[in-house]
Amino acid sequence: MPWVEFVNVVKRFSDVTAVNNVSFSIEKHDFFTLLGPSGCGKTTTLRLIAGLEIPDDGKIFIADQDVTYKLPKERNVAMVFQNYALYPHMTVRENISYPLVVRKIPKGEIEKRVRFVAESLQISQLLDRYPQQISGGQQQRVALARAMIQTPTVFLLDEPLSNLDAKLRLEARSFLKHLYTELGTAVVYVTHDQAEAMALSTKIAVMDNGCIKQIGSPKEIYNEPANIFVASFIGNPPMNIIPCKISDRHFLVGEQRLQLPIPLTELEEDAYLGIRPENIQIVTAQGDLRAQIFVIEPLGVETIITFNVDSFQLKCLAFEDDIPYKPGDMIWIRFRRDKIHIFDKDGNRIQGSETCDSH
Amino acid sequence: MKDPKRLSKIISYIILAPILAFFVAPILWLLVTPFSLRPSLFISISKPTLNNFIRVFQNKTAINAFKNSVIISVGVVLLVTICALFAAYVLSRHYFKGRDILLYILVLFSSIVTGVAAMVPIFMLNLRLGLIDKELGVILTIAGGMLPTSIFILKDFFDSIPRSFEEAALVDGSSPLQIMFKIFLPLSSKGIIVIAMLVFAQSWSNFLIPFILLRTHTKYPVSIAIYTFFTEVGVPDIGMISAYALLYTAPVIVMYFLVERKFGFSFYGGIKG
Ligand SMILES: Nc1ncnc2c1ncn2[C@@H]1O[C@H](COP(=O)(O)OP(=O)(O)O)[C@@H](O)[C@H]1O
Ligand SMILES: [Mg+2]
Repeated sequence: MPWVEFVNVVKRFSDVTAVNNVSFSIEKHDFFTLLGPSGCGKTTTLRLIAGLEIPDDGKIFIADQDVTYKLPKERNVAMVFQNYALYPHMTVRENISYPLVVRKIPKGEIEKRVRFVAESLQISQLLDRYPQQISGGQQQRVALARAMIQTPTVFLLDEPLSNLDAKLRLEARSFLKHLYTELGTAVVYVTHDQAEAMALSTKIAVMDNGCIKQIGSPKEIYNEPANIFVASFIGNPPMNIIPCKISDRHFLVGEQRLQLPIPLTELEEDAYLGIRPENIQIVTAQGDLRAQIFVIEPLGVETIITFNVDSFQLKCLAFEDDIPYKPGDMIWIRFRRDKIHIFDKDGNRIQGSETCDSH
Repeated sequence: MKDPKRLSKIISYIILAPILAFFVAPILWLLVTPFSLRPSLFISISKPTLNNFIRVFQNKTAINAFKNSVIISVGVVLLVTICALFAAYVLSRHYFKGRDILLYILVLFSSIVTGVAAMVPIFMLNLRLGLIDKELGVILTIAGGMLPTSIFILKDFFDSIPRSFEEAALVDGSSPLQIMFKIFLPLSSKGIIVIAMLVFAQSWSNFLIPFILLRTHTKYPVSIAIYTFFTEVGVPDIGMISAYALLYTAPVIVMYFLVERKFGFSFYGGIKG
């Protein structure tokens, strides 16, 4: 049995279906991330696990038990809220010990565990302050401490990094990944930031509009996106998606013809070609497509080059120090053969397209 | 450059000064007259004396009225605060059909209930219930009039407290009672104290309802008893009235400053409009 399982769960709010027939299963060692744009139902899914919402349909299991209609306190989960929800009238120490106090754990034991958790999160010096008196990063650690002290069956984290500034966010992300190895149980993590999801997770569920679009390891999600939505949500910059026609086993991109044999025979005429920016090369000899450079954005290690192919705009990543081009230049570009994705006209990926032959 | 500005400032002071005097004069009178040897309707400073206060404290009716006022006000405060707390909590945290309409209708009618127009029905109601000349009747009537507004204000205040604190406590393993006493009440204490103060000030100064519902003079609260301070010939005893009036306003003012110092609040948060 999986550690946490959703079976066809539906949750509606009057006329909005926030979670639409969602199923997934999480193992005990998983760092499971719900990834998707704002309003897609991530928080609602998390609240369903916590028991703060009751599903309209479907079943939820935690540690082999049907918890669908159980109260939050009967589920033994710990949650870090997006705004941390630290009790403002309690000191940091009282906040952290609260879950143990309401469970009537002996005082000595509470003190011992508070000290241990505070040390491992490096907040020992803050214990007597109030939440309003500490910084955002420290508040986040206190919220984590309040969750960690409980030894729950599953940790639920709702965008815990979104309230931190960019620099602190990277730091906190590494710390979170390190912390995960110490938790020893499943984590369900909610974010709209694909980089966070890629960096932290063992398993990602990409959500859109209340539905799960794909579940898989970060590698699978990145290398074999199931549809255009997932493909264009993951990666920075995201995958280039080019509407094209397929005829006579070749792509037609605008006026140009991409000389690319396709091993597939059953194909509709209209399709989409997907290629990640790092898999496009600028070549001096004749390549796949003719393009005109639009802008060049050097970012230190890499450079983002945007160019126009007919009426489409593509981005590519170059890692050379000097880019010998300037905006307006006409160039040839080449796609890495084994990295091309083909999506049908409904946006679903056609299996096997990444294994197109080189010609 | 500066002249038009200065001119408008001078003009505004000229306009403001008499208005200020108009409002300050009665307060000044109230602060000065009780200590005056020959109290009159004018503000006149003479050698200070506590004679007027001693006379108040020797007057049985005066002291007794104080006791009655305390009984009525404390009763109303307890009744209104506790009922409003529970009602406002439910109205703030649970949605049901017609909730908002119910709220507005209650507030609308509450101003009628305590208004002069409703005095006859209120009298009849208390008569039927056998509550004429009883403190309970006064307490229930004043409380009934204040409850809707109190619920409304308190609900608005509760709405401003994010639910995530209660939800966090729920996931942290609390029972409903633990959430109420460890999380919700401490977070909303300011709003509850504001309501208690408003209710106290209003019931302390209420004249009409005890005047209509009470028959026996010994049950009169201060607001009524203060009218009995006439000398035999029917001339008001200004010295005693002013001393008594100062004592009468003192609790409300003292209470306000105490709470203000403890919580440092001005009327803020949930209370809009
Ligand atoms: N309590 C609620 N009442 C009504 N609609 C809600 C409620 N909670 C969430 N929704 C709606 O459900 C959808 C999903 O919300 P949410 O799960 O918060 O999205 P996310 O966390 O992915 O941004 C949104 O359209 C939101 O407006
Ligand atoms: Mg959310």
